[in-house]
Amino acid sequence: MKRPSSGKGAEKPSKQQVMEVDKVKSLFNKKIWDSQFQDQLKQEIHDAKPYTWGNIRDLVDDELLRNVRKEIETEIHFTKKETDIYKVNQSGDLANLSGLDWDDLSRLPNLCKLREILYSEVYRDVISYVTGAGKLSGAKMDMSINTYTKGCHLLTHDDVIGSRRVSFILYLPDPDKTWKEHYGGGLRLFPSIVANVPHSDHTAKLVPQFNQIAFFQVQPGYSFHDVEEVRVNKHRLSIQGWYHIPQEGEPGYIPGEEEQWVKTNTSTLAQLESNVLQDYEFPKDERDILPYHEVKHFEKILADHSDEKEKENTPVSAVADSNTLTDEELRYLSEYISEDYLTASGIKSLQSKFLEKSFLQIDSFLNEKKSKLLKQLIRHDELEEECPYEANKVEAPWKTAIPPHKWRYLYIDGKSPENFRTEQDILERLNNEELPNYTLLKQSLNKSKNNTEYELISLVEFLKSTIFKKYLALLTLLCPLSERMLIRRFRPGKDFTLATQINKNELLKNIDGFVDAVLEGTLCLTPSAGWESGEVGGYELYMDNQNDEEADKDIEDAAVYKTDDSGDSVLINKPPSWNSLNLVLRDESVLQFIKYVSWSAKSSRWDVSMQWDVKTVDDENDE
Amino acid sequence: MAKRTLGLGKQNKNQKKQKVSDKSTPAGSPTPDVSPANQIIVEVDEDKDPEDELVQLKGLWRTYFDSDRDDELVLNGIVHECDRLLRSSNEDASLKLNDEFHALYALALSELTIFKAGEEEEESAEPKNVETVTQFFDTALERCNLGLAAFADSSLLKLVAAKILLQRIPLEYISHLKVADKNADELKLDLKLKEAKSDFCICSNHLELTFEVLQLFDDLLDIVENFGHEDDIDEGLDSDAEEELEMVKLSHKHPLYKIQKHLNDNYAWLREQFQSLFKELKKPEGQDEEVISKTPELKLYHPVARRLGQLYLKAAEHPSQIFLTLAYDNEEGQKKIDNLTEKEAQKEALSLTSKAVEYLEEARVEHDPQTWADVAEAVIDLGNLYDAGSSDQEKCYKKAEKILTKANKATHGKYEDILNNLLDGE
Repeated sequence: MKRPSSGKGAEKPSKQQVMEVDKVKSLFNKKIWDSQFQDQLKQEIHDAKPYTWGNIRDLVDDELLRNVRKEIETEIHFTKKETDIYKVNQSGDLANLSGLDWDDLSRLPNLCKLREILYSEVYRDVISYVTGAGKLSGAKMDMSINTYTKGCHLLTHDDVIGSRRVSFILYLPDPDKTWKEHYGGGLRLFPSIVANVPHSDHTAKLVPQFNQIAFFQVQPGYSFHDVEEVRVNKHRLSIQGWYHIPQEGEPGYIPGEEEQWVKTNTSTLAQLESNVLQDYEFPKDERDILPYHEVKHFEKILADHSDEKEKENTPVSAVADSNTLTDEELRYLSEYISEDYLTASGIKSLQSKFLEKSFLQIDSFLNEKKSKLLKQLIRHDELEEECPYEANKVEAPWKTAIPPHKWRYLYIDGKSPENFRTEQDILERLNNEELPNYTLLKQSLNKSKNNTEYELISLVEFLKSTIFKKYLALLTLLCPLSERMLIRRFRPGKDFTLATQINKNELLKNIDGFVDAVLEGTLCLTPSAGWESGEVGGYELYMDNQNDEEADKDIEDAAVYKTDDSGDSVLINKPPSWNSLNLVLRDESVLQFIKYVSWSAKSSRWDVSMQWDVKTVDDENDE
Repeated sequence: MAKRTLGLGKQNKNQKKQKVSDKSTPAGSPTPDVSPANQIIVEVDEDKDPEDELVQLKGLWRTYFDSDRDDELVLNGIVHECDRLLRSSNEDASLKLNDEFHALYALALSELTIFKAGEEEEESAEPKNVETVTQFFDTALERCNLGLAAFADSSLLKLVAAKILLQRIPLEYISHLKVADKNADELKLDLKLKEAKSDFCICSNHLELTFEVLQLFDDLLDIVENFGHEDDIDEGLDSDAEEELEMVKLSHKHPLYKIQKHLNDNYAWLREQFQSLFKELKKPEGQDEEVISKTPELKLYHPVARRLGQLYLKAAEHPSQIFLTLAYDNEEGQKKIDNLTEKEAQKEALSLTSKAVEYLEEARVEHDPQTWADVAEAVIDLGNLYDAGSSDQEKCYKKAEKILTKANKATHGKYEDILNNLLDGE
């Protein structure tokens, strides 16, 4: 996933006037030149948890920074950008400030001065010393200015891109006011279970103040952090930057070092795609294969060419092998589904819509009775029950989806309870795989305590039934081969999924008629209003990742989905709602994600997420 | 039809190709896109004849009124339909046009000004559009007056006349005003506002429209109150919602001077009207959400109560400030501020804030914790007004704590800060 600043803008500036060392030093708080201060800071950073990081209060001359802030306020234009991983007001890249014409330079003299001192050798040496990160480049400057306003956030990432060696953030909120913790906008650091698998929750947090700098060594697989959502109508202005590996001609330059570093550190995304790391993802993005005796009925239903007489002589199994619904099947389906969608004409109309569009949106999918019951239960949970916000407080049957640089949400998967704290926990689970058994899970629940979960699981049992899958086959004319069901809850101020492509089922790919796509269903059961504008996130977005010019496999930038004027890349954008089912046949080129749910959302986003591998069945009558 | 669906991505790619090939066909008369989005489904009341043209017209207006109101075409459709009906009525004596017809005609014309003003913003150098806005408002008022000539007692037409004026003052006049302007005698905005107030009436058959007209009045007062501060609000990086901005001092020749001077009276008038409207409403009690959303007297109950609560809180601000200053921050030993003693200010503030609490209690919705917190915050205000340490004060704080604790739980800690403040104060 693309990071907020790719470092592409980092460049070697042409000659610039260099400030005298004494002048540079005078523009910093003089304490940082004191060796005792440096040693103490070095020790603090060394001892810091969850990885080496530090911060300095009142870093630079107060007047200089106030002037910088004024310049930014009056001279820089911010544009709000939103992707799956962030929402932030970004300014242009400042790396080429010195390349600006004189007009522009005169507009931003203080900012230019600040950049010069931050990349001065004497200051770089301090940072290099206290972090122990090695020599840092002064030639390759890399800065950007962001302001986080209400609702802005940046989800967990490790900053590993190119030759970055140290990340820093200099904060510039209102200089005359204390930035309070409840404003949000904190820098939060995440410990890792193993390399590249951060814990779900942060263990360190910095509440930023004016003229405070935070910094850390970029450590592939470990330096995971995020920016907590800003909760109030205030500007958390910051200058974000990186120190890179020394470039040719600079002190500390080692030929080949940068190339080697970049080569070794594949991006986080590439690592996530590797097989080993997939083992550490929960829940698994995989579907369990259906028993053949079940599948063969769907095959017959879709290829329904048996004559009436043959049907009469065939005993009825869980489902009748005809492409219409029997009275018994209708009775079963109507336990949950609205009658409108069960009539022959209702099914026909959904079927033709699905064939035409590859997706279906079915509103008021559950019948009134079930809808009312579930709404009442979910609302009750939202309003009366404490919702756990830390992974270690999450209780069975709920689990927390990890790792947080891919997704975070609560889910029920129909398997034994688990709450991973260590690598060993995960390895034990991997050594003892099990299939979901919602029925068993339901029996283990205390109904009076987990009434909502009990009813949601009953719903999933229904959705897993053979009769429902027959109905699904009739709607889509596709034969289900495997399935996965999850009950999910995305908590405000906490949960999301990042954009991913489908994970194809390797075991099924050679089956006749196998469709190179996954059939996905999302039954959204979010009981609150206020989602329509998209401001509070939580929406499910499908976007096109096809690039006709170059078959670039890298998920370059989900950012385009909001800035693309044509709107072509967004295929479906569905805000959370009550009782609507979305069915999508998602092929490989389509990315999907659930946008981070804002802290100001009125409730969690609740849904049942379904996936099926599917194949086509030839209708011999048509041939 | 395809034998099977292609998959979302491929489908999209195919469609794009199709679009490209569409473009390559010679541009003759473009075939209109008959997507469902272009068609309007007009719902008419169940007990009404769907073939009746006036019923259809009403349905069309309803479609616009209940929508996001971003479709100019619907309004144009209404205006055209009204023109047609008007012509038909001249030829066919059996077609009787009622007051509602004139009202809808005038409403559609007045709503079109929003789109015209939008165009004006886009092409700022075009004075033509300023004229268009004026013309549309004039035509809308003319239509209203023609209607009133035939139906002098129509409360709907009077309400519509008020609506047009209240929409016109900000859109046509204030949007072009500067702080230094001195053309009060020319624009006579205070008289226009007075006219709107005298036209206004509660229309029992059109409660939603009544509510909307009051909201227009409310917005107008807000605009006048913040006049001259527009840039302060948008620009400053840390414009803090907690900080109250002083009203900009205007010359007595400024078109808004008189309205600003009588702001309190206008707010008092607004409260009275909201109260009259509130009397027409019914408290939802266990009805289905869908039923509530389709029944104006149920649907408006909570929003009107909430706004009334907020307006009473606003009214209480001034005496509250005086009381708190005289009671707790009075180093100079002042006896009176703005002619109010400590006791007088306390009494007035308590009475207004109690009213606010009453209305906010009525606005409380079981599944919306924000409405609970609104009550709690008003109750804290109330507590602050009682004598320090008094049992009344304690009672208020306890009540607020209880509500906030519950609301905080329901909203994953949204009220943590207020709650902590409350508990710290104890």
